Order: sequence, then C-alpha cells, then structure tokens
Amino acid sequence: MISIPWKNRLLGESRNIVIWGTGNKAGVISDVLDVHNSNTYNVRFYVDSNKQGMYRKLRIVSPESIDNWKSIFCIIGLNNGRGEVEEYLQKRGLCEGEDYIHWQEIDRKVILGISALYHDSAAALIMNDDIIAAAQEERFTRKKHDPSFPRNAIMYCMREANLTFSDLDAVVYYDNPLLTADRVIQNIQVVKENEKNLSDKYLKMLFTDKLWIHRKIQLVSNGRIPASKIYVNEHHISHAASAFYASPFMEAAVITLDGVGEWGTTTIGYGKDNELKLIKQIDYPHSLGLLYSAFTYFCGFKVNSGEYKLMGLSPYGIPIYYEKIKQKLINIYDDGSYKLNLKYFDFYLGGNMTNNLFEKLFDGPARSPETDITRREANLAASIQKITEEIIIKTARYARNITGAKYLCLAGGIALNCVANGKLLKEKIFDDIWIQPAAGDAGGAIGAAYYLYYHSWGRMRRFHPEDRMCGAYLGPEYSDEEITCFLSNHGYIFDSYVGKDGFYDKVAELLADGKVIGLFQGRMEFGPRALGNRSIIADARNEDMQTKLNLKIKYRESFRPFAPSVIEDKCEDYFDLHVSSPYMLVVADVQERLREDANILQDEQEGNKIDLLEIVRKKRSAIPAVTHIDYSARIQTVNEKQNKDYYRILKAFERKTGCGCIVNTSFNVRGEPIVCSPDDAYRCFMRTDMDVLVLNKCILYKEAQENFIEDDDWRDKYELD
Amino acid sequence: MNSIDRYIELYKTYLYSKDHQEFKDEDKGTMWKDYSDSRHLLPVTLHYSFFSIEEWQKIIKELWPEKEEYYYRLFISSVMSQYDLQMAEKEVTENVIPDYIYNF
Repeated sequence: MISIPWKNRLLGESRNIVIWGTGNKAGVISDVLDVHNSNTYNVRFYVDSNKQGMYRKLRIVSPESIDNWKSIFCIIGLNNGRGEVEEYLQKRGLCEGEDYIHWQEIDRKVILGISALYHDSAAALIMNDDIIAAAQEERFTRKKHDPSFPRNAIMYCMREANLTFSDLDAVVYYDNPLLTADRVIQNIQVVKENEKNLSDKYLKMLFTDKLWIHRKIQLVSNGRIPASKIYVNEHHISHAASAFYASPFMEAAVITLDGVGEWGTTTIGYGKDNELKLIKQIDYPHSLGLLYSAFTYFCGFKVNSGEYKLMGLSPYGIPIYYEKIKQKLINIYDDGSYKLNLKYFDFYLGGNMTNNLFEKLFDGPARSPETDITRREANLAASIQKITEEIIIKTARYARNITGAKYLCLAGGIALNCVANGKLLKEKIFDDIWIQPAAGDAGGAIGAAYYLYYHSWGRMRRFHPEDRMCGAYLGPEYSDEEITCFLSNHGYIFDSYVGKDGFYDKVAELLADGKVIGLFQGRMEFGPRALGNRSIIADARNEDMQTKLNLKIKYRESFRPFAPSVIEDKCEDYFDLHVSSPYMLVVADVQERLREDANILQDEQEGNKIDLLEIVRKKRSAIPAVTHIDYSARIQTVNEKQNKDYYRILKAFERKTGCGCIVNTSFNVRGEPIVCSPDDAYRCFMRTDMDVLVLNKCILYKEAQENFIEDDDWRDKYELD
Repeated sequence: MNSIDRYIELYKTYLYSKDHQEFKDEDKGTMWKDYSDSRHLLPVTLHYSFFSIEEWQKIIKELWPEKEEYYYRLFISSVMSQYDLQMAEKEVTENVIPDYIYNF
C-alpha cells in the first residue's frame, strides 16, 4: 500500500512551512497547496538566497535570516542547487522526510504503464520514484504469455494503490503502433509476392487492434481517462527506460535487444540522472532476437517461449555450426552490429521462421515439436548461443566506447539469456551491470511510465543505493487471514503456524527429508522468474531431484536444468560468482571443489542420438539438482532485506543440513503461467506429485488431502510451450 | 501547421528517410544507425486517435501512396471494428467494402 500523500499529511503540520525557491518548481508547490488563495496550509514564506521582496503574496527571506530551523518544515522547491540546499538543512539538524521534503513529494504523479498486444501483456503503476504495483496479465487469465489488453493487471494495480482512474496523471502505452504499421507496410511493399500473407498475419491485427490502444484504455476506465492523459512511447525506449530508471545507476550505457519493436531490434542508449536517449539502433529485419527465435523454431521449440529451452540445451552440444552460421547466416561487425542473410529466413515473408535453404544448411528439416532431441539440435543450440554471446560482448564494448559510461543496463528479451549475461559479466567491460528482471515486453510497462515521468516531465531522479524493483515482488499478495479463510472454506486440511514458532524449521525439515514443496507467500513476482514467493523448492543435494521435478512435478523436458537459491553471503562457497544476483539473471560455475567428474559430455554416445535423461542422471556435484551438465548454475542470491521469509527458510535449511542452497523453480507446470492465487497454487499442488504446499504460514500435506477430482483433464487447459 | 499536417510531416521525414535500406543486400561495414528521437512519446492526441476518417484518408494517401486504396480499405474496416470487430474481420477477409462504410 502507498503512504498518505504529503499534501494530506501537511494539513496537520503545526510547524511553519517554508518553500525554498521562487522559480517554477516553487510555483508548482504554491499552486498545489493553493498558497496564495487560502490558508489551508501553514505556509509562511519563501526562502531564496538571491532574491528579496514578495513572491505570490508571501515574503521572500534569505536562509541566513532564519534563526531556528528546527521549528520549520521546509519544502525544497528547486531542482538546480537542491544538493546544496539539502546540505545546508542537514547541517542545521533537519532530516529528509521529517523536517524537509522535495517539491515532487507534494506534486505527486501517478502513471500507469501498459504493455500489450504482442506477448506478455502487463500493467505497472508508478508513483513518483516508486513502483507501486506491476503484474502480467497471464497470471490472472491463466494463459501463458497472454498478449491481450491487460484489463485484469490494470485493475489489480489500481486496487493495490487504492486509487481510481481519475487519480491517474497519465497512461503510457509502451509501443508506437503507427510506426509498427509503417514497418509492416514497408515490409509488405518490399516482398510483394507475399503481400496477402503478410497483410493477413500482421496488418489486419494492427489496424483492427493495436492502432486502437487508446480506445481500449478509455474503455477499461469507463471513460475516466481523457485522451489528453494518454501517451504512446517507443518500444525500445520503454525497454531502455525499464532498465536505466529502475537501476541503481545515475549514469549508464543502456543496451536493449529483442525480436523487434517498431523498427528497432537492438539499441544502444545513454542515461544520466533523469535523462535517457537512444544513440544507435539496428533496424528490422536484422535482429539477433529473431535469429535466436529462428533456431528456437528449427530445434522444435515454440517461438517467444522456448528460447529458454534452447539456452538450456546448449551445454549438451558442441558449437560445430558456429563458423557456418557466421559464413552463411549473419555478418557480425567489430562494433557488435550485424546483418542477417535474409535468403535463409522466411519470417519477413509472413511464413515460418526459416526456409528450405536453412534446412539444407543444417542437414535436414526442422525438428518436429515433442519428438526426440538429437545431437544436431544440441549442437545448433550451442552454436547459436556462442554467436549470441559474441554479439552481446562486442556490442557492450562498443557501447562502453561511445558512451564512456562505467555501468551498463540491459533489457529486451535477449537480456534474459543468463548464460550470455554471465559471460558478459566475466569480461569486465563495465564496472557493474544491472539487468531489468522483467526484461521482456512485460517490463516495458514500467519503462513507459518511468520515461514519461523522468525524461519527458523532467522530474528529479535521486540516487538510491538499491534498484527500484523491490526484489520484483510487485504483484498481489494474500494475508494470513485470507489464506486461512480460503483453506477453511474449502475444507482443506492444513497445519497453521500463524502466530507460532517453528515454521521455518519445519519447512527446512521437510526439504531435508526430500519433500518437494510448493511455496506461496508474500507478493507475486513481476517478470518470468519465481524468486521465492511463487516457487517450487527442494533439496539441491538430492541427485534424483532434477529428474523428479522435470518429469513428475513440472511435466517438462528431462534435459532442462533447475536453478539454485543461495544465501547471499554463502554464494561463493558454492559458486564462482562474486556479485549478488537477486533476480536469477546470471549464470556462473559451481565451485570446482564441489564438482564430481561425471563424464557428462555425450562423446561416449554414438551417432546423432543423444540420451539426455542418461546424461542428466549422472551426479555432477555436491548439489547435483542445480548443477547443469557444464557445471554451470543460474543463481538467485537471497538476503534478508530482499525477502525475509525466504531467507529464513534458507537459513533454517542451512542450520539443519549445513547446506545454504536449495532448488528454486517456478510454481507451475509446463504451459501454465506461474500461480497467482491460493486457488491456483492448490490446484497445481494437487495435479502434480508435489509433496507439500506452503501458503504463507500454513502447511498442507498431500497425503492429508482428499482426492482432487476435476471434470476435464487439466493438461488440455495448457498449450505446451 | 495544424496537428494533422504536423503529424504527416513528422512521419514522412522518418518514413522516407529509410527507403527500404534494411532489405538491401549491401555491406556498409556497420549496421548501427544514428537514432532519431524526434518522434517518440507524443501525446496520443497528436497521434492517430483524433483524426477523422477523411484525415486518415489523407494520412494514408500521403504516407503510403502506392497502396492507398488497399490500406484505406483495411483501415476503414478497423474503424468499423471499433463498433463490430467480427463484422470488420469478415469484411477484410472477404475483401468487401459495404456501402455504409462510405457513408460513415
């Protein structure tokens, strides 16, 4: 929940209120508090070092003329020189938030950001610097990557902030539909022979849907958002803003990479304080994101969904196609830019991602979904992963050169490639890197709102030592009372630890006993990763756990790795990672001393066949369930400040077992969005072989539950991803 | 300059500077382009939402003259879709422009 607005809090302020400044910002405060027309607020005078006389019917005094600053509440009404004013006030014993505030606190702005109608629709609500709420539509509609207008997510944001649509200062859509229409139309004009194909596939959708985003916004608000408050941003600016403004950096280079926005596919930008500008851009159809998706498609995975699988498959292969890809498919320049050889692709013709020339190049047709994965797919995955890393690293070097910035922010779908992120980190091109945890289109909702607030409206951006994402815990939460009520009303059997000790030790005991636990607590995560509030957790030391989780809990492909959550200050005991990774966006190696020589590479297997399950079953380290076959792991570091309850579970597990690291995978089954409500969690728990469900401080055991009967086969509800 | 002329100018400057370069097979040594920030984050009132059908016809004619009729038909259908989406889809699919659209 948001705090009471300062405008209301100042109504009860007994001290004399002064406004420091006599310029535009002071004028804004004066208007908001209606200083010159009423005495509603106890505003006495303005402070200015360089002016005398009157301003808006009140006297201007110099700061030196004020004897007792402790009897005053000051509103700093300026941007330039605010640092000096703060220092002046602090020297006189005044504290921010108690004795003084900045003008923006009075002139509070509330902005709703929306990303929608591509994939992963989402809404985010910001209030000045703070992200009050953010959620993806899929969590409410239960359709994975739901692209529809995020009505449910918007309603959730408004409820969370306890605001009405009339309270909004602006609504920003994260993409410019007309520029997209232009790209589609130009595309059609260039490839005339497939005009109808392309029109059918893209243009009709644009003209009948995206171009009317403003109407959808007005409809959802019942007309309470006037058109004058609706803005559209550009796709990659929204991505860039989601990374830079949410980061802890005041100056940074920003790289965005995805399939395509309007025209842009890859950009380099530069942010300083509240300003952000893109400097360089690579345009469609040349797209690293689409290249990666082409290989995703060719290897039999779903585009815009299966890219993770391709990344997870890459360590099983050898990059034998790397040179061929560089010779035939893509020209990579030293500055990280690249040019696709379009004759091997059909995505820009409205057909499949790849064509028959692509098939000839890689020894046969694309793998059909759900068929056996062969050595070819593994090698293709390894090869395109190597290409991706090369482009990202070269682009980062170029970005450092042209911006001179010490820090880097990353966003766009490709920024979720945590293997590439880990390699980039190791290169030490930048002093530090921050990656938007909702790097895909969902995060564009945050970026769109922030860009309007900071860049376009020129609002001051203050340094925060931590990022603005609140651990990505920005979604709905349920109180202990709501959970207890839900369980009791349904007659589900549970042990309640509400108001009792022993909860964390009990969860740790269950984990150590080999139980697989569905963990549901606190606010839902924003972005694709579950970070301990909507997670399935298990003992990382158990060598059968990866197979069990994949085949009996998640019902997904056997080769896919699981990620560890590790106590932050114990991270280096397990992994070769020397920075925190709270959002599970970086891959690093398991420490050598924990590894076991498992002969895991598939050399011993002959021909094109590859038995991934056999490879997975070989014990690889002391924490095999989270050690990928190349000894890597996608790490989430956890500290008490970030997530107190999750940290305490990890600590209790460490006390019990000596191991400060557990398995953390998202609380869902294949094809299902991560659970949002207790009801979603209970259903997922009962449909799978999960042993225990934890809802806040209530523990449910599978064997204690009555049979869960559904009319239909739940597997039919979810399209395989 | 009124808003529709400003709008057309803005987009023409951007659109025609591209000249389909992206699809040409030439090696320029780099694919980075300088970013032009003249066009982003306009209030929606300066975008498409408040133009009349006639204004939209002008936009389409100016920006995409080669395909004016085709795009206009699609666009008109999209306008209609605000009132009846299914009907509009049918119209587009069947390439039919009912009389009432011209009287819109």
